Amino acid sequence: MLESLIDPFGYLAILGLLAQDAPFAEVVAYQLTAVAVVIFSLTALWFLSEIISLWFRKSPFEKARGQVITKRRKEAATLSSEEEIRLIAVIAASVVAVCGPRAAIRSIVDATSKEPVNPNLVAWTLQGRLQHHGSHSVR
Amino acid sequence: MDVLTQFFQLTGFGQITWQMVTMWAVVGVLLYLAIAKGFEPLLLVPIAFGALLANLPTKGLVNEPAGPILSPIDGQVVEWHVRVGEELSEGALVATIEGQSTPESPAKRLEIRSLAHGEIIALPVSEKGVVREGEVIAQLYSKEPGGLFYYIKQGITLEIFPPIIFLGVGALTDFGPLIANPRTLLLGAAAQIGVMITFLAAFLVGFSPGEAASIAIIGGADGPTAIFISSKLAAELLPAVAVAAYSYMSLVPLIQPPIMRLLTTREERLIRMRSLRSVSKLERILFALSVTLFCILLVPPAASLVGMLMLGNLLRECGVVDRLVKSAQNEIINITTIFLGTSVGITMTGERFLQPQTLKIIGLGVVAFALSTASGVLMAKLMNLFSKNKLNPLIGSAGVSAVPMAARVSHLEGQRADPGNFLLMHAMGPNVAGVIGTAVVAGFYISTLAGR
Repeated sequence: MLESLIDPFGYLAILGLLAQDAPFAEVVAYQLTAVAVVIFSLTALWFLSEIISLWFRKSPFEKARGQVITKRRKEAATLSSEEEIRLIAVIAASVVAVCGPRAAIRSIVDATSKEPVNPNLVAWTLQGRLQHHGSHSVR
Repeated sequence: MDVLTQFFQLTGFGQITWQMVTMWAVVGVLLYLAIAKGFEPLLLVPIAFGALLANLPTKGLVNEPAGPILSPIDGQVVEWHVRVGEELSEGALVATIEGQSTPESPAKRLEIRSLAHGEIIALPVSEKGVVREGEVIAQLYSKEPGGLFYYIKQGITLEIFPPIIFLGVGALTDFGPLIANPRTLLLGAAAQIGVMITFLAAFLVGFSPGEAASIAIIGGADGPTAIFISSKLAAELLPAVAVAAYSYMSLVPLIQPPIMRLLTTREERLIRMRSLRSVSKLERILFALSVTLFCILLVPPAASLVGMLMLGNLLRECGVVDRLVKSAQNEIINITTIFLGTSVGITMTGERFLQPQTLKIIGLGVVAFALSTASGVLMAKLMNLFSKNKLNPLIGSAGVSAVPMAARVSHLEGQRADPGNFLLMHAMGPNVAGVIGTAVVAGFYISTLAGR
């Protein structure tokens, strides 16, 4: 009873048997154990990742981001996402011009919405603008 | 005339054998595939050149340094062919040992030859003395060191190169698509089923369990892992397994598409998957740490592969060690690739490579590869039966770990059916899951078969 609890797949028993000239049936059992181990391990990693991502999806930052996106969609008539990106790029360019290229923008707060804007959303645009301005030595 | 004959004997020309000439042809094919066809040139060029060096009469290039000569079996020394103080050349006969007889097989005699040049300084076993496997039977001394490639080859013998390659792979790989859609881990697991079926096939055609594991892992399409497991479980098969693994990796765009088309309908190939969510930096760091902890606790022999893979990835994702990441992505992996390739090539001597079993390994390798591809695609179809968010089954074939070529093949096949469908990032999920899956399988095989 205890043995089957510790070693439900007969994993440990097979370890000791396959060394000798094992019959084919035992090799098949060994391979089924291998399949079970690999599927178990990757499934466990799947659930582990889901658990971790669950926390991230429910983090205050992600919630705020979701709210911002929803609100922005409602406000699309007044401020399109293109305008938002341009606005952030202009802010970034201004920061670089004043503080130099080593300055890092951690967050940008919209004065009207009072909610944070995720700079990761526009990371590529920012990077492009920074390079553009850097190449022209805008100061 | 005699002088000319003697001179000819001294040159390398006098030592050319038919095996060497055949291997030059093999080298020619490998170089053609690499240079003219562009198949995995980063590895096939050094492998081919190493094989060329191995099949030239190059004295002093691969010879071992002088040192202890060990008994390969349990038995009894029946005759000494040398005495203390005698100068030995490489390949000289040292002793004849008779192995112990068993009920199944009678005692057989083995001739022990010196693998290095040097002077005999001690013979610790007397004539008719009993020796154990691994026991020192003679001590050789020389002022000359071993050949250059003897030392470079230690990177494989001591299992150093494959984990270092994994460090670079980790630093180059974005695990984001896998973290964003972690159910694709199952596709990486499914692809290992092909490995396991091939194990059974190899066992049935007469390979030992260790050899069967080394051959089957070719289906994982992971060159460093194939080398790692072969050097541990079946060192004599290393050249054939490495060449088969890298050749099939280079042939991914030719081998996989027919299997993918055969196993999927047009409607399935047209499936568009939901775009992936963005994954934060902290989430990526936690993933690297959790994979390290979990996989190493589950299969400790995979620690060096998984550990280095995840170290490379952590360096990449933590964002504070740019110099180290650049080194791992470029200089470290490139230098190691040169040494790994030439070291594998240098083991491809004609006597070792031109064996009937090499053909068997190459045949079983393609079976492994095809089965791994098929099982990934079929697993994606199976998952679609239970899921609202459908997977495009073409990404299942990327469960083999040829990163990123297998993912690119999935993407291109998807675009053949629907030019507006972009599967590349979706396919990267199972592709990197395949790397983890192959490392887990390798760890399982090593933990259960090594030393048996």
